Amino acid sequence: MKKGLLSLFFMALVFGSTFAQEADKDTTLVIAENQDAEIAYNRGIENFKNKQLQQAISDFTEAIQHKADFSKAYFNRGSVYVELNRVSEAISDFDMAIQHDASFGNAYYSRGRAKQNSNDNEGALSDFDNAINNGFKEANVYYYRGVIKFQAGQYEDAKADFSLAISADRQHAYAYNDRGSANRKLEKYDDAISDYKMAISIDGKMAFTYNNLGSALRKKENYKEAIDQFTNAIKQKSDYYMAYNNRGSAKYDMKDYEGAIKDFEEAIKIKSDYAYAYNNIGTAKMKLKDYEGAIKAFDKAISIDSNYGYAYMNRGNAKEMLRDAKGACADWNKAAELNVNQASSFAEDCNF
Amino acid sequence: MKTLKNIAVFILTFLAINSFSQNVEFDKDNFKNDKDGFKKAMGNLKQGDEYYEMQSRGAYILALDFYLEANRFNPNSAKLNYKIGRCYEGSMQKSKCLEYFKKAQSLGTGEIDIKYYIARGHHLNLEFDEAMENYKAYKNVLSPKELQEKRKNIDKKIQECKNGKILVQNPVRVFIDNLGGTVNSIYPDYSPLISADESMMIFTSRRADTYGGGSDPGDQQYFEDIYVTYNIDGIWQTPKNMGKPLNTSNNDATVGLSPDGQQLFIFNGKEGGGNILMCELKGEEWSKPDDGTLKKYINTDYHESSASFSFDGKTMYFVSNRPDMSFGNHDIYYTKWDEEKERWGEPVNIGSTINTEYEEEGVLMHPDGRTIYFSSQGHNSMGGYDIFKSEMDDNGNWGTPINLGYPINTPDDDVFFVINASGKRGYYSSAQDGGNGSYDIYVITFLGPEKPLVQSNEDNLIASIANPISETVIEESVEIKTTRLTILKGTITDGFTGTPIGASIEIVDNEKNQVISVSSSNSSTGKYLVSLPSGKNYGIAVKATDYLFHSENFNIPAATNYQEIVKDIQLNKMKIGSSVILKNVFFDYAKATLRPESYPELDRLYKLMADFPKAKIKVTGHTDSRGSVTTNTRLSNDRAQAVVQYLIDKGIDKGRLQFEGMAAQKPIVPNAKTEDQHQQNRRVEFEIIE
Repeated sequence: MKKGLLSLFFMALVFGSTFAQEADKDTTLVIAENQDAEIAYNRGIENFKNKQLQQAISDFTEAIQHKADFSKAYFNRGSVYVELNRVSEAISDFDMAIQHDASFGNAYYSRGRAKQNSNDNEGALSDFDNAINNGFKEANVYYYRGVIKFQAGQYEDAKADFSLAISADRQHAYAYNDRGSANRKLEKYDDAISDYKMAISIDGKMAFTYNNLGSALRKKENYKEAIDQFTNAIKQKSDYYMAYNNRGSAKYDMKDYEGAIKDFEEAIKIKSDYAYAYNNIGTAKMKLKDYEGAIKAFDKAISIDSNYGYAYMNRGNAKEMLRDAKGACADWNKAAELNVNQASSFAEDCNF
Repeated sequence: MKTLKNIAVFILTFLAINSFSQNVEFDKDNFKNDKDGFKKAMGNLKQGDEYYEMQSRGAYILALDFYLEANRFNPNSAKLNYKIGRCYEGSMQKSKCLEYFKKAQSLGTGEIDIKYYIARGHHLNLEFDEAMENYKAYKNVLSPKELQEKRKNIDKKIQECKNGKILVQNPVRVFIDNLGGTVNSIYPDYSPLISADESMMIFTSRRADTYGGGSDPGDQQYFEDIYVTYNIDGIWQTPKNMGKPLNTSNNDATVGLSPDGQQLFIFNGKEGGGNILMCELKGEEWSKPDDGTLKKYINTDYHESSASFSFDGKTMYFVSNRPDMSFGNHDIYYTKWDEEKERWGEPVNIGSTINTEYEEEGVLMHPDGRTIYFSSQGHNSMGGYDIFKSEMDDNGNWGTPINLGYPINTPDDDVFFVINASGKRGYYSSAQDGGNGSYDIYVITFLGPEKPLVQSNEDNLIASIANPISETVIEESVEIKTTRLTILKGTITDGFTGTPIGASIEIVDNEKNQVISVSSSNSSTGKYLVSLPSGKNYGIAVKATDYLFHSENFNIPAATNYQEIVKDIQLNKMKIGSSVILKNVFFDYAKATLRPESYPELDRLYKLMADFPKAKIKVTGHTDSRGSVTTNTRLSNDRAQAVVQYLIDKGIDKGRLQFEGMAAQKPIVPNAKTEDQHQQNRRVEFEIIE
């Protein structure tokens, strides 16, 4: 019957309905296989490429209706769902793609990515492993597996994955950046700096990598070069408030407290509720012995984030310098409540 | 312009120095215009000199009152400036000495030790580099003999400056606060002692309500008395003179208090070169101080000046300058309470970790039982006495003393320091500017190491989170097996009338010699359509009743995509003269051998001959125009004969069959040029001849 239908399709296409009756008699002549599914599938791809995502979904759905085990059609429809941020539908489709083709590496990978984006890192990790075991060895599968391990604090394992991503793609700037970050977490600052620099040599427009490089240089107490790199980050991204904040801290490290305050204020101009920058202004004012100004800055930080433990601790330190022992102790105790351990040791003195 | 300005500054400076350096002696000739003033100044000088000659701290203080008055009259006496410097240096506000020594030097004082005192002035003002420079310069002006005598002292001062540089660069974090006018008076207040819980303070003062109201003739100040103040809710109350029996009409000074505040050591300077006496608080009354339990071992003919109990009262630490077991000058000793003899036992020098060849003084055993505070001129003092602490390890050994640091310690004497049980607050006396007068009691609040300030920073450590990249990847398109199909369509009509014919269309796979399908054209329109999938050689025979069949051949290669071929076919009735080109008869190349693919077509011809048994046909062979006529004639003849022979072999009577080789005489396409045209011309036909 299906052959007949396809034949009918062709006949109608070529001759119009007038000859349908005659054509029907010719069924035995038509030997083309049934390809309704494939045709719909390919049309779906064209629609996807032309950003006709809803139409693409209809096409892949049609393909699946014609061919219930069409794993690629499930896969592609899943991918379109990803594009539409309909993650659970995407995951269901990837499930089906894998159900019909258990060695579908790309489907494992894509499902892993969808799970990763919906914070199911455990599921994602398992999918990435399956993708790799099924021959899917694109750089990104290692890269994103590395990201999960990084987030889990497994920096050595993450680093190994970022290295595999780099082996698969020597131009993988993100993998260099992230390996740099893993090295930084492992306190291998020289390696971190080298990785960040590689990432920049591949893609000189990544503001965040300049910023990361600056922070790694700060760890190496190379404040001057750190400031240069934060400046580069800001050149790439003029509203990069984090880089302003970090540059301020590097200036603070160089005892340029006035310059530091200017940078913290720049960060606040971009992000008016940036509690970190207010806190940091407070620390710089402390160094300038402007304890009252410092307290105002800490007050602001705390008004933005009432659980900002370090700001309480710092404010306590400022109050101590203003002989406000009671106020200092109240702040230290609050900071200790917020798990700032240092503050609890300060608060121990409050009983005397 | 700038150069001119520099020159002007230089000249002004030069003039200033020049006028500054003019020494004006206290000579009546120098003050002819102010004889009264001169006379008064000379009186002050004389009185000051009397005290100055006494060379004691109290005397220096008294001398200053007169000297400063004289100096106001004549500020440019090198000699007077030097003396004022010496008075300051030898009394309380020591740092003030520097300006007077400097002035004395600029006025050209002849004092040989002026460089030493300028060094002292810098030293006391924490100007260590200048101090060292002047100490060294002083060594250079000394004769070898003097140098030999003084080298050790000067070198120690230089070392103190080195210590001071380090200590001042790393100050300890403290608040130092004057206890205020309630406790401190305009008179000297010093030697504070506190109970461990900081609820009581006993100190020494030389205020006007001293018992008996007498003054020390040495410095004209009231005799020392012992005072007590209590701490209520963190506020020290107005001190009270402790009265008899602690205070007498002479000097009575505090030297130590037990942690519980029940036992007090006081110093009595009159007895035995300076002895320690003890008294106890019984109820609300203090017992009469005596040295009953201190006799023999503690109080000697030497100077015993400071004492402190251990937390359990079983050990007493005290300071003495006795020569036994001494490391030099005053040392710290300890003694244990002898239960049997009910007195303190034989003292032991606390050891060389604590004691030095220099002076130790002001011992305080902390109630924690393992920390000792004391003052010393040795160790890494930055000048005079500095306060140190040392902790006892688990084996009972004292650790290396640690300088309590600047600003607690200064280049001046820092001594008689007490600390509370928590170690967070200490008390001492100091003659600082801004106090209530001379020595005042200060409280030191220890802030501990600098409390770290925590900055908050963040980075975008993970690139794909900082800047996520959409990477939707879809599987590529599949190959659609597009229908490779030839549609053959057209109209089948009567070749003569043009009337549509409902004919049967037989498709033969020539290769397999199989009929693939049989369909038919529409009888009313004559239209037909057949699908011919690519990859085959098709023979098509169109047949209709009473008509001669029509033969077509289509070779459709496998790669041929969809195409439509319109082929209108005209069928001829069975009648004499009608002919059919046998398009599906094939021969080997240049031969007359029939290929098997020809059989279906020949079988149709056979069937025709069988269906019409009376019919006679003539088979003609045709070649294209290429090649020789002879060859072509023979080949065309042989091929026509091969067809006839096939029919004969099938059983058709030979008499019904004729054949002839026509070579290229009757081309379908005359003057053929293309291969296709040549092919059309190469053929076998038959014609109904009867």
